Amino acid sequence: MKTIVFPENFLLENEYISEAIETLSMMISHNIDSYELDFSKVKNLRRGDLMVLVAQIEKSVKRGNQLKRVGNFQDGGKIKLMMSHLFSVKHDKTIHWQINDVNEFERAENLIPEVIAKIVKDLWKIGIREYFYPFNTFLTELIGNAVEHGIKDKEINWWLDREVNRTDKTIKFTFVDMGKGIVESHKKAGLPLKYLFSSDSKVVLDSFSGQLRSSTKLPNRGRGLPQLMEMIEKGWVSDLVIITNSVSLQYKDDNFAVTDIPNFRGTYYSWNINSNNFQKWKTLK
Amino acid sequence: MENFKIAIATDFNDALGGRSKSLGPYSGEAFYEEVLKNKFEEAIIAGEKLHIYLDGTKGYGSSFLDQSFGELFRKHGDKVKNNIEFHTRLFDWIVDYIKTDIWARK
Repeated sequence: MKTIVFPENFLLENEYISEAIETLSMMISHNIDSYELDFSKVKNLRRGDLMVLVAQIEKSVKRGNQLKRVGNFQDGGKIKLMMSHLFSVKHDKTIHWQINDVNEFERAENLIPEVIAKIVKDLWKIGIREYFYPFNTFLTELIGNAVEHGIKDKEINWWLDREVNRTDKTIKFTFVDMGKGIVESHKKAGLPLKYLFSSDSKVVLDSFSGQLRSSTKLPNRGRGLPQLMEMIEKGWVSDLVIITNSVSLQYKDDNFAVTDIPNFRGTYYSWNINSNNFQKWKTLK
Repeated sequence: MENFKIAIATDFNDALGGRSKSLGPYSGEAFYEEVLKNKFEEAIIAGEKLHIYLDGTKGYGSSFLDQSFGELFRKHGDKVKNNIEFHTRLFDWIVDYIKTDIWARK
Protein backbone atom coordinates (compact mmCIF):
# COMPACT_ATOMS: atom_id res chain seq x y z
CA MET A 1 0.00 0.00 0.00
CA LYS A 2 1.43 3.36 -1.05
CA THR A 3 0.23 6.64 0.45
CA ILE A 4 0.02 9.60 -1.91
CA VAL A 5 -0.13 12.95 -0.18
CA PHE A 6 -1.69 15.62 -2.38
CA PRO A 7 0.01 19.02 -2.19
CA GLU A 8 -1.44 22.15 -0.63
CA ASN A 9 -1.72 23.73 -4.07
CA PHE A 10 -2.98 21.05 -6.42
CA LEU A 11 -2.93 23.30 -9.47
CA LEU A 12 -1.91 22.60 -13.05
CA GLU A 13 -0.41 26.03 -13.50
CA ASN A 14 2.57 28.25 -12.73
CA GLU A 15 5.04 27.00 -10.14
CA TYR A 16 2.64 24.32 -8.89
CA ILE A 17 2.34 22.31 -12.09
CA SER A 18 5.34 19.99 -11.58
CA GLU A 19 4.28 18.88 -8.12
CA ALA A 20 0.68 18.34 -9.25
CA ILE A 21 1.78 16.19 -12.22
CA GLU A 22 4.22 14.17 -10.14
CA THR A 23 1.43 13.46 -7.64
CA LEU A 24 -0.92 12.36 -10.42
CA SER A 25 1.76 10.09 -11.89
CA MET A 26 2.16 8.23 -8.60
CA MET A 27 -1.37 6.84 -8.99
CA ILE A 28 -0.41 4.82 -12.04
CA SER A 29 3.07 3.70 -11.02
CA HIS A 30 3.95 0.17 -12.02
CA ASN A 31 3.87 -2.78 -9.64
CA ILE A 32 1.64 -1.16 -7.04
CA ASP A 33 -2.04 -1.99 -6.94
CA SER A 34 -3.20 -0.31 -3.78
CA TYR A 35 -3.05 3.37 -2.91
CA GLU A 36 -4.08 5.57 -0.03
CA LEU A 37 -4.98 9.08 -1.19
CA ASP A 38 -4.40 11.76 1.41
CA PHE A 39 -6.17 15.03 0.55
CA SER A 40 -5.81 16.54 4.01
CA LYS A 41 -3.25 19.18 2.96
CA VAL A 42 -5.10 20.41 -0.14
CA LYS A 43 -6.10 24.06 0.19
CA ASN A 44 -6.20 25.26 -3.40
CA LEU A 45 -7.55 23.58 -6.47
CA ARG A 46 -9.75 24.60 -9.36
CA ARG A 47 -12.71 22.61 -10.59
CA GLY A 48 -10.75 21.78 -13.74
CA ASP A 49 -7.86 20.39 -11.71
CA LEU A 50 -10.27 18.32 -9.66
CA MET A 51 -11.63 16.92 -12.92
CA VAL A 52 -8.11 15.92 -14.01
CA LEU A 53 -7.71 14.13 -10.70
CA VAL A 54 -11.01 12.30 -11.25
CA ALA A 55 -9.87 11.31 -14.77
CA GLN A 56 -6.64 9.92 -13.34
CA ILE A 57 -8.55 8.01 -10.66
CA GLU A 58 -10.67 6.47 -13.41
CA LYS A 59 -7.54 5.39 -15.27
CA SER A 60 -6.00 3.97 -12.11
CA VAL A 61 -9.17 2.04 -11.21
CA LYS A 62 -9.46 0.69 -14.80
CA ARG A 63 -5.95 -0.70 -14.36
CA GLY A 64 -7.23 -2.68 -11.41
CA ASN A 65 -5.81 -0.52 -8.63
CA GLN A 66 -7.60 -0.18 -5.32
CA LEU A 67 -7.89 3.33 -3.90
CA LYS A 68 -8.61 4.42 -0.35
CA ARG A 69 -8.98 7.87 1.11
CA VAL A 70 -7.15 8.74 4.30
CA GLY A 71 -7.29 11.89 6.40
CA ASN A 72 -9.93 14.58 6.38
CA PHE A 73 -10.43 17.47 4.02
CA GLN A 74 -9.35 20.98 4.88
CA ASP A 75 -12.18 23.01 6.29
CA GLY A 76 -13.51 25.67 3.99
CA GLY A 77 -16.47 25.78 1.71
CA LYS A 78 -16.18 25.00 -1.94
CA ILE A 79 -13.22 22.60 -2.03
CA LYS A 80 -14.50 20.54 0.86
CA LEU A 81 -17.94 20.36 -0.70
CA MET A 82 -16.62 19.23 -4.08
CA MET A 83 -14.22 16.69 -2.66
CA SER A 84 -16.60 15.34 -0.04
CA HIS A 85 -19.10 14.57 -2.76
CA LEU A 86 -16.59 12.88 -5.05
CA PHE A 87 -14.51 11.12 -2.45
CA SER A 88 -16.85 10.04 0.29
CA VAL A 89 -15.68 6.94 2.15
CA LYS A 90 -17.35 3.84 3.47
CA HIS A 91 -16.51 2.41 6.90
CA ASP A 92 -13.63 0.47 5.32
CA LYS A 93 -12.24 3.77 3.92
CA THR A 94 -12.51 2.59 0.33
CA ILE A 95 -13.44 5.47 -1.88
CA HIS A 96 -17.12 5.11 -2.60
CA TRP A 97 -16.84 6.13 -6.21
CA GLN A 98 -18.99 5.07 -9.08
CA ILE A 99 -18.32 6.78 -12.35
CA ASN A 100 -22.03 7.18 -13.02
CA ASP A 101 -22.32 9.25 -9.85
CA VAL A 102 -19.94 11.88 -11.17
CA ASN A 103 -22.32 14.44 -12.61
CA GLU A 104 -20.15 17.51 -12.26
CA PHE A 105 -18.39 17.10 -15.60
CA GLU A 106 -19.18 16.14 -19.18
CA ARG A 107 -17.58 12.87 -20.16
CA ALA A 108 -17.89 10.05 -22.70
CA GLU A 109 -15.84 7.26 -24.21
CA ASN A 110 -16.57 8.35 -27.77
CA LEU A 111 -17.54 11.38 -29.83
CA ILE A 112 -21.22 12.17 -29.40
CA PRO A 113 -22.32 15.07 -31.65
CA GLU A 114 -25.38 15.87 -29.53
CA VAL A 115 -23.19 16.41 -26.44
CA ILE A 116 -20.97 18.82 -28.37
CA ALA A 117 -23.99 20.71 -29.72
CA LYS A 118 -25.28 21.08 -26.16
CA ILE A 119 -21.96 22.43 -24.86
CA VAL A 120 -21.89 25.05 -27.64
CA LYS A 121 -25.49 26.06 -26.94
CA ASP A 122 -24.54 26.72 -23.33
CA LEU A 123 -22.67 29.84 -24.47
CA TRP A 124 -25.98 31.66 -24.13
CA LYS A 125 -25.14 31.80 -20.41
CA ILE A 126 -22.54 34.47 -21.20
CA GLY A 127 -24.70 36.32 -23.68
CA ILE A 128 -23.73 34.58 -26.93
CA ARG A 129 -27.18 34.06 -28.39
CA GLU A 130 -26.25 32.90 -31.88
CA TYR A 131 -24.79 29.47 -32.54
CA PHE A 132 -20.98 29.71 -32.49
CA TYR A 133 -20.28 27.24 -35.32
CA PRO A 134 -16.45 27.29 -35.12
CA PHE A 135 -16.63 26.27 -31.47
CA ASN A 136 -18.56 23.16 -32.50
CA THR A 137 -15.74 22.35 -34.91
CA PHE A 138 -13.15 23.12 -32.21
CA LEU A 139 -14.72 20.62 -29.81
CA THR A 140 -15.25 18.03 -32.53
CA GLU A 141 -11.54 18.18 -33.44
CA LEU A 142 -10.46 18.06 -29.80
CA ILE A 143 -12.69 15.16 -28.81
CA GLY A 144 -12.15 13.31 -32.10
CA ASN A 145 -8.39 13.41 -31.52
CA ALA A 146 -8.78 12.29 -27.91
CA VAL A 147 -10.93 9.31 -28.86
CA GLU A 148 -8.98 8.28 -31.95
CA HIS A 149 -5.46 8.64 -30.56
CA GLY A 150 -5.87 8.62 -26.81
CA ILE A 151 -8.58 6.72 -25.00
CA LYS A 152 -10.27 4.33 -27.41
CA ASP A 153 -8.10 1.34 -26.57
CA LYS A 154 -8.08 2.13 -22.83
CA GLU A 155 -11.87 2.23 -22.36
CA ILE A 156 -11.67 5.43 -20.37
CA ASN A 157 -13.53 8.72 -20.83
CA TRP A 158 -12.56 12.14 -22.05
CA TRP A 159 -13.61 14.80 -19.55
CA LEU A 160 -14.75 18.41 -19.92
CA ASP A 161 -15.53 21.06 -17.33
CA ARG A 162 -17.13 24.49 -17.69
CA GLU A 163 -16.75 27.28 -15.17
CA VAL A 164 -19.23 30.03 -15.98
CA ASN A 165 -18.34 33.51 -14.78
CA ARG A 166 -21.52 35.53 -15.32
CA THR A 167 -19.89 38.74 -14.09
CA ASP A 168 -17.05 38.66 -16.63
CA LYS A 169 -19.29 36.89 -19.15
CA THR A 170 -16.61 34.26 -19.68
CA ILE A 171 -16.62 30.48 -19.61
CA LYS A 172 -13.41 28.71 -18.68
CA PHE A 173 -13.23 25.27 -20.26
CA THR A 174 -10.95 22.46 -19.18
CA PHE A 175 -10.63 19.29 -21.22
CA VAL A 176 -8.53 16.22 -20.55
CA ASP A 177 -7.96 12.75 -21.90
CA MET A 178 -5.63 10.42 -20.04
CA GLY A 179 -4.45 8.64 -23.15
CA LYS A 180 -0.86 8.55 -24.34
CA GLY A 181 -0.39 12.24 -25.05
CA ILE A 182 0.46 13.88 -28.38
CA VAL A 183 4.20 13.19 -28.31
CA GLU A 184 3.89 9.58 -27.17
CA SER A 185 1.26 8.90 -29.86
CA HIS A 186 3.71 10.07 -32.50
CA LYS A 187 6.59 8.13 -30.95
CA LYS A 188 4.55 4.94 -30.79
CA ALA A 189 3.62 5.26 -34.45
CA GLY A 190 7.22 6.08 -35.36
CA LEU A 191 8.36 9.67 -35.70
CA PRO A 192 10.02 10.77 -38.96
CA LEU A 193 13.81 10.57 -38.72
CA LYS A 194 14.27 14.32 -38.59
CA TYR A 195 12.48 14.35 -35.23
CA LEU A 196 14.77 11.72 -33.71
CA PHE A 197 16.52 14.22 -31.46
CA SER A 198 13.76 16.82 -31.31
CA SER A 199 12.30 18.09 -28.07
CA ASP A 200 8.71 17.26 -27.10
CA SER A 201 7.78 20.90 -27.65
CA LYS A 202 9.03 20.74 -31.28
CA VAL A 203 6.86 17.66 -31.89
CA VAL A 204 3.78 19.32 -30.38
CA LEU A 205 4.32 22.67 -32.13
CA ASP A 206 4.87 20.98 -35.51
CA SER A 207 1.72 18.88 -34.97
CA PHE A 208 -0.29 22.07 -34.49
CA SER A 209 1.34 23.91 -37.39
CA GLY A 210 0.70 20.95 -39.70
CA GLN A 211 4.39 20.26 -40.41
CA LEU A 212 4.11 16.92 -38.61
CA ARG A 213 0.92 15.55 -40.03
CA SER A 214 -0.28 12.47 -38.23
CA SER A 215 0.70 9.66 -35.91
CA THR A 216 -1.50 7.29 -37.99
CA LYS A 217 0.95 7.61 -40.90
CA LEU A 218 -1.94 7.81 -43.34
CA PRO A 219 -1.38 10.56 -45.92
CA ASN A 220 -4.86 12.02 -45.60
CA ARG A 221 -4.70 12.47 -41.80
CA GLY A 222 -3.45 15.06 -39.37
CA ARG A 223 -5.68 18.00 -40.22
CA GLY A 224 -7.36 18.24 -36.82
CA LEU A 225 -4.64 19.98 -34.82
CA PRO A 226 -3.85 22.51 -37.60
CA GLN A 227 -7.59 23.27 -37.71
CA LEU A 228 -7.50 23.96 -33.97
CA MET A 229 -4.43 26.15 -34.44
CA GLU A 230 -6.17 28.24 -37.06
CA MET A 231 -9.04 28.95 -34.68
CA ILE A 232 -6.62 29.82 -31.89
CA GLU A 233 -4.69 32.23 -34.14
CA LYS A 234 -7.90 33.89 -35.27
CA GLY A 235 -8.80 34.55 -31.64
CA TRP A 236 -11.96 32.46 -31.61
CA VAL A 237 -10.81 31.04 -28.25
CA SER A 238 -8.55 32.76 -25.68
CA ASP A 239 -5.93 31.93 -23.06
CA LEU A 240 -5.23 28.46 -24.40
CA VAL A 241 -3.03 26.15 -22.34
CA ILE A 242 -1.94 22.71 -23.56
CA ILE A 243 -0.23 20.18 -21.33
CA THR A 244 0.92 16.93 -22.87
CA ASN A 245 3.82 14.62 -22.05
CA SER A 246 6.79 16.72 -20.95
CA VAL A 247 5.63 20.06 -22.30
CA SER A 248 3.25 22.82 -21.29
CA LEU A 249 2.31 25.44 -23.89
CA GLN A 250 0.57 28.71 -23.23
CA TYR A 251 -0.70 30.76 -26.17
CA LYS A 252 -0.17 34.44 -25.54
CA ASP A 253 0.49 37.43 -27.80
CA ASP A 254 0.34 35.28 -30.94
CA ASN A 255 2.97 32.85 -29.70
CA PHE A 256 3.29 29.72 -27.62
CA ALA A 257 5.32 30.06 -24.42
CA VAL A 258 6.90 26.68 -23.72
CA THR A 259 7.63 25.20 -20.30
CA ASP A 260 9.28 21.84 -19.64
CA ILE A 261 7.40 19.75 -17.10
CA PRO A 262 7.44 16.19 -15.69
CA ASN A 263 5.73 13.68 -17.98
CA PHE A 264 1.97 14.14 -18.06
CA ARG A 265 0.57 10.99 -19.65
CA GLY A 266 -2.41 12.43 -21.45
CA THR A 267 -3.51 15.65 -23.11
CA TYR A 268 -4.94 18.62 -21.25
CA TYR A 269 -6.40 21.79 -22.71
CA SER A 270 -7.87 24.83 -21.00
CA TRP A 271 -9.22 27.93 -22.71
CA ASN A 272 -11.66 30.78 -22.24
CA ILE A 273 -14.53 31.94 -24.40
CA ASN A 274 -16.24 35.31 -24.12
CA SER A 275 -18.23 37.56 -26.42
CA ASN A 276 -15.00 39.04 -27.91
CA ASN A 277 -14.14 35.63 -29.36
CA PHE A 278 -17.57 35.39 -30.90
CA GLN A 279 -17.35 38.93 -32.28
CA LYS A 280 -13.98 38.20 -33.90
CA TRP A 281 -15.57 35.34 -35.79
CA LYS A 282 -18.62 37.41 -36.75
CA THR A 283 -16.42 40.25 -38.03
CA LEU A 284 -14.25 37.90 -40.08
CA LYS A 285 -17.30 36.12 -41.44
CA MET B 1 -33.67 21.41 -61.89
CA GLU B 2 -31.78 19.51 -59.20
CA ASN B 3 -32.55 15.83 -59.56
CA PHE B 4 -29.77 14.77 -57.25
CA LYS B 5 -29.24 16.58 -54.00
CA ILE B 6 -28.31 15.98 -50.37
CA ALA B 7 -29.28 18.34 -47.56
CA ILE B 8 -26.90 17.00 -44.92
CA ALA B 9 -28.88 18.28 -41.92
CA THR B 10 -32.14 16.64 -42.99
CA ASP B 11 -30.90 13.67 -45.05
CA PHE B 12 -28.32 12.62 -42.44
CA ASN B 13 -28.15 14.57 -39.16
CA ASP B 14 -27.79 18.16 -37.97
CA ALA B 15 -25.08 17.33 -35.39
CA LEU B 16 -22.16 15.56 -37.02
CA GLY B 17 -19.48 13.33 -35.57
CA GLY B 18 -15.89 12.46 -36.32
CA ARG B 19 -14.08 10.18 -38.72
CA SER B 20 -15.16 6.57 -38.28
CA LYS B 21 -18.20 4.69 -37.05
CA SER B 22 -16.10 3.16 -34.28
CA LEU B 23 -15.56 6.62 -32.73
CA GLY B 24 -19.24 7.52 -32.40
CA PRO B 25 -22.50 8.20 -34.25
CA TYR B 26 -23.04 10.32 -37.38
CA SER B 27 -19.46 9.94 -38.53
CA GLY B 28 -17.97 10.83 -41.89
CA GLU B 29 -17.65 7.13 -42.64
CA ALA B 30 -21.37 6.56 -41.99
CA PHE B 31 -22.34 9.58 -44.11
CA TYR B 32 -20.16 8.33 -46.98
CA GLU B 33 -21.48 4.78 -46.87
CA GLU B 34 -25.13 5.51 -46.18
CA VAL B 35 -25.76 8.66 -48.17
CA LEU B 36 -23.00 10.28 -50.21
CA LYS B 37 -21.51 7.37 -52.16
CA ASN B 38 -24.78 6.08 -53.57
CA LYS B 39 -26.22 9.49 -54.40
CA PHE B 40 -23.04 10.52 -56.19
CA GLU B 41 -22.90 7.34 -58.25
CA GLU B 42 -26.57 7.71 -59.19
CA ALA B 43 -25.92 11.27 -60.34
CA ILE B 44 -22.91 10.20 -62.40
CA ILE B 45 -24.87 7.42 -64.11
CA ALA B 46 -27.62 9.92 -64.94
CA GLY B 47 -25.02 12.38 -66.23
CA GLU B 48 -26.03 15.04 -63.73
CA LYS B 49 -24.45 17.01 -60.91
CA LEU B 50 -24.93 16.22 -57.23
CA HIS B 51 -25.96 19.29 -55.20
CA ILE B 52 -24.82 19.33 -51.56
CA TYR B 53 -26.58 21.66 -49.08
CA LEU B 54 -24.34 22.30 -46.07
CA ASP B 55 -26.45 24.69 -43.96
CA GLY B 56 -28.59 23.49 -41.08
CA THR B 57 -25.87 21.48 -39.34
CA LYS B 58 -24.01 22.56 -36.21
CA GLY B 59 -20.63 22.44 -37.92
CA TYR B 60 -18.10 20.19 -39.64
CA GLY B 61 -14.92 18.65 -38.27
CA SER B 62 -11.98 17.96 -40.60
CA SER B 63 -12.15 14.22 -39.95
CA PHE B 64 -15.82 14.04 -40.95
CA LEU B 65 -15.10 15.91 -44.17
CA ASP B 66 -12.07 13.84 -45.03
CA GLN B 67 -13.76 10.51 -44.40
CA SER B 68 -16.74 11.49 -46.57
CA PHE B 69 -15.82 13.96 -49.32
CA GLY B 70 -12.16 12.93 -49.18
CA GLU B 71 -13.05 9.26 -49.49
CA LEU B 72 -15.29 10.00 -52.46
CA PHE B 73 -12.40 11.84 -54.13
CA ARG B 74 -9.99 9.00 -53.41
CA LYS B 75 -12.43 6.61 -55.07
CA HIS B 76 -13.59 8.67 -58.05
CA GLY B 77 -10.82 11.23 -58.55
CA ASP B 78 -11.41 14.43 -60.51
CA LYS B 79 -14.91 13.35 -61.47
CA VAL B 80 -15.87 14.44 -57.97
CA LYS B 81 -14.55 17.98 -58.45
CA ASN B 82 -16.54 18.42 -61.62
CA ASN B 83 -19.79 16.88 -60.53
CA ILE B 84 -20.45 18.19 -57.04
CA GLU B 85 -21.89 21.62 -56.39
CA PHE B 86 -21.98 22.98 -52.85
CA HIS B 87 -24.65 25.37 -51.59
CA THR B 88 -24.20 27.36 -48.38
CA ARG B 89 -24.68 30.75 -46.78
CA LEU B 90 -22.92 29.76 -43.54
CA PHE B 91 -20.07 27.44 -44.39
CA ASP B 92 -18.06 29.10 -47.16
CA TRP B 93 -14.83 28.20 -45.38
CA ILE B 94 -15.85 24.55 -45.37
CA VAL B 95 -16.28 24.61 -49.13
CA ASP B 96 -12.84 26.24 -49.49
CA TYR B 97 -11.34 23.66 -47.17
CA ILE B 98 -12.78 20.71 -49.12
CA LYS B 99 -11.70 22.12 -52.47
CA THR B 100 -8.28 23.49 -51.60
CA ASP B 101 -7.10 20.98 -49.02
CA ILE B 102 -9.02 17.72 -49.07
CA TRP B 103 -9.37 17.53 -52.84
CA ALA B 104 -5.90 18.82 -53.46
CA ARG B 105 -4.29 15.48 -52.68
CA LYS B 106 -5.23 11.86 -52.47
